[in-house]
Amino acid sequence: MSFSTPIFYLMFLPAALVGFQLMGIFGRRYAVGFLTLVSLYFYYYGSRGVIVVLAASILANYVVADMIVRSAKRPAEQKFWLAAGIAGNLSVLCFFKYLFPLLNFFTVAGITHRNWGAVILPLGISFFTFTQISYLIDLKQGLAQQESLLNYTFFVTYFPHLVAGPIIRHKELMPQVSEKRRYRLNRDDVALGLTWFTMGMFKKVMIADQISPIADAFFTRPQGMGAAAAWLGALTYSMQLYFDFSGYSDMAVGIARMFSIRFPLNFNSPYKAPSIIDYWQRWHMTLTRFIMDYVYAPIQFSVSRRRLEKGRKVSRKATATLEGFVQMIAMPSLVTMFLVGVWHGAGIQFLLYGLLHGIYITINHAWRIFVPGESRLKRLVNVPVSVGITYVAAVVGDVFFRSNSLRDVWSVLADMGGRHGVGEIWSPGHAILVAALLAVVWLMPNTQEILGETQENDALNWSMVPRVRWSPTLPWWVATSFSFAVSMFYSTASTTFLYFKF
Amino acid sequence: MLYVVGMVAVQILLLVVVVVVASTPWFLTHDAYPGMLQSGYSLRLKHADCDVVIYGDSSTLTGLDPDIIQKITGLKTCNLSEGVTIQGVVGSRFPLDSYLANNKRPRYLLAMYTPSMFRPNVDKFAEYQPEGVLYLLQYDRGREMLLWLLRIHGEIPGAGVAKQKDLWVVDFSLWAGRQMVKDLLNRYLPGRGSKTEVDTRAQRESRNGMWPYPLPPETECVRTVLHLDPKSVGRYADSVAEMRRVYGVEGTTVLVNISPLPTCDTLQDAYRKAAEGLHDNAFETLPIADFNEGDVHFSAAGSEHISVEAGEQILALEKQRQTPPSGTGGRAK
Repeated sequence: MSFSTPIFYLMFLPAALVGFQLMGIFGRRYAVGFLTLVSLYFYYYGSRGVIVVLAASILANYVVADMIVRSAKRPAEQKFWLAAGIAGNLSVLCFFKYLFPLLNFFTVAGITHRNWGAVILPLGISFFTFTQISYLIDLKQGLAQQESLLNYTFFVTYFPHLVAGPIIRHKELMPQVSEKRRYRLNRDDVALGLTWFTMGMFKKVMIADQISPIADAFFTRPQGMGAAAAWLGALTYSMQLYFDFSGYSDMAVGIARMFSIRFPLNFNSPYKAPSIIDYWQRWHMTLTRFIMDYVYAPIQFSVSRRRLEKGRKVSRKATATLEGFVQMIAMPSLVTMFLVGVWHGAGIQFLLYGLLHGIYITINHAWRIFVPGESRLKRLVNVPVSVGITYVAAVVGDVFFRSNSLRDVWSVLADMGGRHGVGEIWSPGHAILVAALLAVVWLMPNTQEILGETQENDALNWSMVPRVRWSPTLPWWVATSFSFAVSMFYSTASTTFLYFKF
Repeated sequence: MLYVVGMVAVQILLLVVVVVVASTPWFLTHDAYPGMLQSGYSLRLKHADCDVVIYGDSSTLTGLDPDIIQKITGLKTCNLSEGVTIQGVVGSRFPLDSYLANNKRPRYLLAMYTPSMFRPNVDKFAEYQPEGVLYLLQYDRGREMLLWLLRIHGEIPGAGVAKQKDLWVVDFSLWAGRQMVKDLLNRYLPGRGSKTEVDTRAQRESRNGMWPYPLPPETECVRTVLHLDPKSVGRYADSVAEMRRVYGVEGTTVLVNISPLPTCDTLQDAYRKAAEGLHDNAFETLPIADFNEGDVHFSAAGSEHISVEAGEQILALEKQRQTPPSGTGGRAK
């Protein structure tokens, strides 16, 4: 059940809100229990029997979490349980997501000689697996506390984040469902959440879904076009991906807020990023945070420890040497981004997508470290230029992300590079549309800025209308009601979000 | 609180209002769907008293030309066909029975169906299609239809794995609302050539019920969604027999034809086998240029070809009929 389908926003969500309000009369246990039940139904509705995988995963992790807590005074045993938990989670993820594509790849390559078939990829498996891994690690590190089975199931399955994130950490969600809070709908939160949801739905239904046929047509038959048409196709997809995923994230954050639960933000105008490092701190922010905390940081820590053991320096100055840079910056970045690529899917183009971004990040670090701050070169690359370069790099990466095969990737990139000359844009109307969307992305404030819900320490992004602020007033009511109505009419039962497949 | 309640109330009100608006004649010229305006032709005919009534799906609607058949046979001919999206909701009999209630019985009922849907007798409410619901709202606002609209349905065609269980009335309301928004955009957004003004009803009425599909001929083989997996091709002998039984009375001769397919169609053997012995014409294949919009609707050349064949088919029967004794209906031979 996708957030943008009528069955969700006309039936499921209102029923969940009304039920929460009623169950809240009886207290926390009933309200949380109700939300857990509707979350499980939400998953069952879209996955049917596959819910068994989710249930088994929750139960297994709950047991492992219990063992981690019980072995708190025996560090070696506790470490074993954590390792077993992580290995178990990753094994399940690999089985469903990677094993059969890999075996079939071997068959295509002639290494094996049978068709291995496929298994159904459980909806949201990457997300609920990462959520639970982070819980186990946080539990061992004392950053999370053990929960009852009901609370734990709620933490994993709470429906706004279950199938496509944001990837929530225990400390972000569970304190918000403590005994202290009032389990009733708060009118301010419902108004804000509903508006946030509407903005996300408009992005998804009226922008991403409307331009997806253009991008699909381009990537279905990508061969042999001029550079202008190829760039238009790639730019269109970059817009589709942006509005699809940021729309989803807005809807998820908005739904959670209707129940007075605050989710971490997942998007912060990534196409306004002046560097690729900054881009990853703005795009799918909770995934980046997970990867940084649980992959990049441990790798860097391990590298630093080994260097120290060998008597080498780990200071910032040491990273300015070629050897230090390779060991402490380039290698962790490449490995981390390679894993980000793998997380997105089993296709070789996803691996290359990750590696490409790893190379981007390494170059970005090298630029920061090796090019002097006051150099003429750095002065030449002012903010608009660096934003443009970062966006173009992201668009090139998106070609790997979207193409159906590696052959298509090279074909599109060659066309973008002018293999068939500049050529003509196949539709000037599409070019105007993409230009208009780019103007929205670059010149307008983002959703959380309009809603006054930016995260602490986040500076406001530049926009042409920085003072636009939502408030529950008549003009905003008219605008939101109109946006919802139009999106509602254009929403269909068969649309889904791009990130659902991950 | 007023902000939230007001917003929710507006959306619910809109859903209801859209259904009411969709049941008015105004909607048919403001739905960005000119093709729907021509539907309901059979309901508008009073005392037309056609000798030859053509009936079938959209291949018949866009293919069999009453003027050509009339020229060959000398018999007054009209085409009452409706698309499968309408017949799937209202049933295959409703448009035809409505005509028969207001006109004298024809001498010939020529029914023709595309091979992938060679099923002349379809029950009402067989599937959800917005075109069919719109037809019902426009022409047959009964209590039965209202109850049916509110029924929970099993799946939405084309929804694939994600089978949804919405209320059909909500689906229809959303569709109708979307069509009205599209119409507004077509009218007022620059660069969107408006086709809303095309009067397809007049087009159809000027051709005695045939509606030439407004697309150029195909140039390469294209398969439409109507063409199913060969494994799912059904044989509907009972459905064909029912059509002959119900309408082959009171002097009406029923002909059940099968529409031609493009020569490049790879499923033709499966269709030929499934319909073998059920139709009165020869199963034929034609060049792809005789089709438009995939392989179902006919171009002008294709239309002329099959209309001449149908005219000659009836003429042969008519000559046979004039030599005693005349038939009393039933299957044509």
